[in-house]
Amino acid sequence: MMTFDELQTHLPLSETTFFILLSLAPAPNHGYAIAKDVQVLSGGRVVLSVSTLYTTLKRLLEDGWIERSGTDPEPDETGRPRKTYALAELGRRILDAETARLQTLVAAARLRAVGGEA
Amino acid sequence: MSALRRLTNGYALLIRLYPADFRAEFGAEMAAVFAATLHKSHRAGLVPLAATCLRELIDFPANLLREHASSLRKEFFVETRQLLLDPRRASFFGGLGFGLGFALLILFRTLLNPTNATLLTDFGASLARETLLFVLVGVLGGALIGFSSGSAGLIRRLALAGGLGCGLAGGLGTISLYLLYASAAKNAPDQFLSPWLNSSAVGMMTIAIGGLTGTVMGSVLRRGKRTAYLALAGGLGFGAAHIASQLTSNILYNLWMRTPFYQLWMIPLGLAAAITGLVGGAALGWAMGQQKEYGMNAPEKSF
Repeated sequence: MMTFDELQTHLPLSETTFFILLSLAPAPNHGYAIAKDVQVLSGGRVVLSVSTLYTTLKRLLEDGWIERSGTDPEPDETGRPRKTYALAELGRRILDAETARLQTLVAAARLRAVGGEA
Repeated sequence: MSALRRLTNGYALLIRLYPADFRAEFGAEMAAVFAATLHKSHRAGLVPLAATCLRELIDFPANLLREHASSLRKEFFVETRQLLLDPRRASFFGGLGFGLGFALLILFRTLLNPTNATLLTDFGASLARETLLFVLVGVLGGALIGFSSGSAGLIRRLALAGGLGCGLAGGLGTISLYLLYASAAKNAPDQFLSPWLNSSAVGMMTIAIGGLTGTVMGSVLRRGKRTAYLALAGGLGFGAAHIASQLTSNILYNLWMRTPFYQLWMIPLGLAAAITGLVGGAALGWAMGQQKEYGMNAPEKSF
């Protein structure tokens, strides 16, 4: 089990990694759905190319942040089953740590904005 | 064939440029996702379609390079638990490889420098030639140490490590010798560098060859702290080899010059150089293969 300090060494996450992990947080998903979800989650700002999506998925699989979770019952356009990916326990902890880090940053920014110049 | 089909087929060709393991795992998925993305963009209009293609083209080279780099890293940095190097075989093949390499170095050095230009008169060409020749020595020596294991992967890794270590030491050594010769020529233009000083400088370069080759081999094989042991063994082995070579080179040269083949004066020099490679390579191979406290086949300790 990774300690808090060890988790911190992986932060901050890149936007691509953060949004992919976030996309998988509620439920496992397949590649095409992840790409669409990332676009929606980022308000259209992050549009993943297929090569970026899969090289990132590969790295996350190797690092144990995500795992394969079988196939989607709905096949792709060619009729092939679509492999799905799920957030692993480590990935969930890293996502939580990154979210907490971002919340701290936002809280600090809000504090300064509310308090005026300190 | 429709334009979309052509683009999909073109992308399938691009996927073939990825490393085989990546392609096998993700190639079909990537092609399917690209086709789906393309169809969706096409329905949205020409501009989104062009944007999709452009995005792929822009991202593709960097991702391709990243995957090949990752594949190479996996190829060269292996778990040492998997290695099976017998010390005697590794020592024999190390001696053979480096011995042959050093002998060929003398031969090629003569062939590549027919005008006998010196380091001082033609530094650039000398540096390039020496670096290349030492890379070849290291590749041959490393490959043969790897060959002793019977593993094709280890042959490639040790050939690369040997080439890198020897090439680096050869290049740096040539620069050092140039600085030494230039300094000596400036201080005493009419005098030759003393043979003792010259031999010491070449000896230091030889020690560096062993030390750096051991270091790079240890790093490539993830030997951790034991890399220092390999560097030490390489340095000491090649240092001792240089002394042995110096002791025999004059004898061999003088004997050869009395034969009818005296015009082939590079042969005794090659033989003397081969002694350097033989002793140094054997020491390096032995250090890589010995199985006791520092051996590769010993149970891994935490370090």
